[in-house]
Amino acid sequence: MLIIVIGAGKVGFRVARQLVQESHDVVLIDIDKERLEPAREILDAMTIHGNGAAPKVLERAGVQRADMVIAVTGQDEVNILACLTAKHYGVNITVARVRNPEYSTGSEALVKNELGVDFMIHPERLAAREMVDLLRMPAATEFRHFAGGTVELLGFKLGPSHSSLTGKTLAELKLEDCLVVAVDRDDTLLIPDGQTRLESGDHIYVLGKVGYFGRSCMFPGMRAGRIHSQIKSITVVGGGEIGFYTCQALEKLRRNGLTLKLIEKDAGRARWLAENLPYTLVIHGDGTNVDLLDHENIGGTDAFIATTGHDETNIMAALLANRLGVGEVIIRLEREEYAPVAEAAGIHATVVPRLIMASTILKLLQGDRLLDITFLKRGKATVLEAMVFQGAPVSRKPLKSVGFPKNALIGMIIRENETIIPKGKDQVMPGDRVVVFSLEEAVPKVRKALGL
Amino acid sequence: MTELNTKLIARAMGLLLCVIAAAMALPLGWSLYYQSGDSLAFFVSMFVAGIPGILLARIPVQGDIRLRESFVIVSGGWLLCALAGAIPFLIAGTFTNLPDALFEAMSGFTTTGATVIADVESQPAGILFWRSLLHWLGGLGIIVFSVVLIPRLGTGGFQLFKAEVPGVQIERIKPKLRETAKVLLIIYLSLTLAEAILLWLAGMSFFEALSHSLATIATGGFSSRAESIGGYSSTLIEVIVMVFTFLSGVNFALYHGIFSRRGYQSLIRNQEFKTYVGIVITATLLLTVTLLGTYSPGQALRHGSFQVVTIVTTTGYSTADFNTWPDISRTILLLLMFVGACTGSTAGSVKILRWQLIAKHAYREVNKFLHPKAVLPIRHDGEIVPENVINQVFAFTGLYMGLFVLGTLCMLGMGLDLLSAASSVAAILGNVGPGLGSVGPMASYAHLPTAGKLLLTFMMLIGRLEIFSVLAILTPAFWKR
Repeated sequence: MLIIVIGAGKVGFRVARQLVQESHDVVLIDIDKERLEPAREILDAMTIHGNGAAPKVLERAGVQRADMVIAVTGQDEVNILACLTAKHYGVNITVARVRNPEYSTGSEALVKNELGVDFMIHPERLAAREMVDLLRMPAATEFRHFAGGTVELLGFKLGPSHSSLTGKTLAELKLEDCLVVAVDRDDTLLIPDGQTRLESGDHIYVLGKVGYFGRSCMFPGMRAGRIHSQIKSITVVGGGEIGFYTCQALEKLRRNGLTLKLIEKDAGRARWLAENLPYTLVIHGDGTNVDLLDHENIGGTDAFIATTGHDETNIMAALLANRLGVGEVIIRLEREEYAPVAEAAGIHATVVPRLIMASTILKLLQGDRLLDITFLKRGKATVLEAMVFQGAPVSRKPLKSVGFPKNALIGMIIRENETIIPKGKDQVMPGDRVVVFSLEEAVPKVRKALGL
Repeated sequence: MTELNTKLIARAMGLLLCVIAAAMALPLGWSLYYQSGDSLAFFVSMFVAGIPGILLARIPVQGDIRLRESFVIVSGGWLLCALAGAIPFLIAGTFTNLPDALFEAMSGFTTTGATVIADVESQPAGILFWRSLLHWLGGLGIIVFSVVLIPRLGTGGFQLFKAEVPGVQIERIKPKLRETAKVLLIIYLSLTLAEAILLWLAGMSFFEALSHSLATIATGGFSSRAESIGGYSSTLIEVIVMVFTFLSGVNFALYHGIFSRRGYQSLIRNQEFKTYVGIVITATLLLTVTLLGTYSPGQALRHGSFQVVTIVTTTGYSTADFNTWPDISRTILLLLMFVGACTGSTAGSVKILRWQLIAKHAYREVNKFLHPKAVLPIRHDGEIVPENVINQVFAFTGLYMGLFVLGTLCMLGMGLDLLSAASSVAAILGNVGPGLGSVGPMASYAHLPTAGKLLLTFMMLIGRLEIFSVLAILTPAFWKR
């Protein structure tokens, strides 16, 4: 497929790289020559310098033959206009990143094909949703849902409180209703088998049937609950889009006694936030100012979320909060490279909007077969949810004889209303949905096996 | 600034005079029906008011009503109406001097209900009806003024109103001014007729039922009985009057909301309405408890609830001589005079919304001690209240209290005792009517010196027109070109 990506910023680059890896033809357009530089060096993609909304530029990119146009520049209007123009040339699927909710809410006209934008993606809102999800499982680094909420994925680090688990093989643990799909040991991911022995300091990923983590979880301290059962007060630093949406979502819990504080640096924005978040205490100030954090008794809050656009500020604020004694600290990161640093410093959950953005776009690309795709560990691992079609190589054979890629694992089969943790003798049937955990290098093989 | 459009003002005044003259036909009708002997007075008055009215109304005009003209029309109009309304009193011989007649008519138009007639029951039917009708016309005027005109003016103290009727945005009731006024008139008329019919069925004569109903819906308080509603010794009548008095204290725009698609939600979600209900219930309980030494529990509740409703809505009817009640009970009533009912109703005084905003502001200041850097906008019914509105509310309430103190000093200077002086000014400024002491519910304002009557007449006007529009005219800047 020929795919045109407009905007070579962080998101555009990430999307283009992913698409190239999936062996699509990619043309990357940006108005800033310097931003195209890394793409030209690293990616096997064509780069064009120019305004991506201009017909001439799009023609040079071969818009007449393109199957998909993804507009992810920093300006909503440019993205929308680029999609409209592309649609005019007969492009099948157009995707625009739209940050301003004024464009994406209320009016169906803009979204529903009438004008030509097939999909509007709102990375900030998705990121906010992920932050709220993480709060449900305070000790987890990852907590995601698949298959319409019937399967949950939990990632966490084995610490001193997990002594009942460490030192044993998975076969000895006799886990039920859940499956350890990956172990991250010394920054290397491996797919475990029954003989894998868990060690303290391992970061493990577990797939569970719905409710498992809320009910009879074998992992101490890993009970997913409603947010308010464990967290009574939350401080958010940074009143940008992500901060705003996070607070807006959390405000719904106010009746359960949840109190919210939002710290924003810009006076005008703080005013706007105060007016639009009726149940959040908005404080005008610097989230990295120790005096302010002290005065507002940040140490007494149960969770701290830093959502500013500056990674350094977020990390700094989070470290301060950590030192003041906040248990749950989540930060937003633009540069995923910082994630290990943040983790090493004790910040245990990071949300990377552009990863969310990239996975959402890939989902769209696969149409109705790929139902969900999520990147973990800065893209080193992928969780796919797919529909198995008639004739897919993986189907109608016992799993042990399918020859499923080595560095991947079918974690869950969803058949009708049943969720099955597959064993070697189980078969995948056409019409099933599967949740697959795969390391980065095995993804193309996995897709082949699933017939994607 | 350009010059005032005097022709326009003159024409508006002329139209008002015509309305007053036409309204005199009603008491004329009653006086003819009862042969009460004041028919000639009304007949003559109609010409006295009507002829200049017609002449002025024929003045050709050009241009639109701007803010400055509307100030003059509203304040001048109320004064002129009071003057025209005073004519029948003078001609019929109710009063022999203009200040008394003006006081009575102003008390009517501003829906105050304070009287300078020492012996009400000897008055002829026409005059009695005229007093009630003055209330009703003034109440209608204030509803149209506050619900239709104020939001349109959109400046100064009037911005309050935009914040005040959230959800029930007046502009959205009906797109046209005329339509909005029509809807309000229908609501106003229906309430009046409903009460009149109920009172009639409860045993009043139709004349008295209508008179009291006109005065109730306008939250006025003139009665044709010296002992006010208490004179009927009927619990049923008291309950009817109490219910309608309570209803008259509700923002009229909310009634429209009930009949629109939002239904009762618009009432239940309105913070001011909820507070109004809360204040009435709390004050009733308090007053009832303080009256337990004076009456039996049942009687205490009966008189207590009636008096709370009638004072908080600034109506001023009474079922008992509350001037003889214990000090604590009287103080509760005196404080209620400063509360007032909902904005957008016919009630006077400070009004609940303003107190709510002041309370919210105070709460915010306390919060600021805890979180010095917090951004804390004030909300009312979910809408942000602009800071300048908060300032307006403080300015209004400050001025109100200032006028109260100043007025009390003046009245003390005229030889009144402290209780009578303070309560008379509170009752007049808040358009309540009867005060305490020598101006209590069973007494009248007749014994005050002429200067005192004139001062109180002016205070009625100032209280009714929410201070700003009257005071604006009195500033030199207003008259500078």
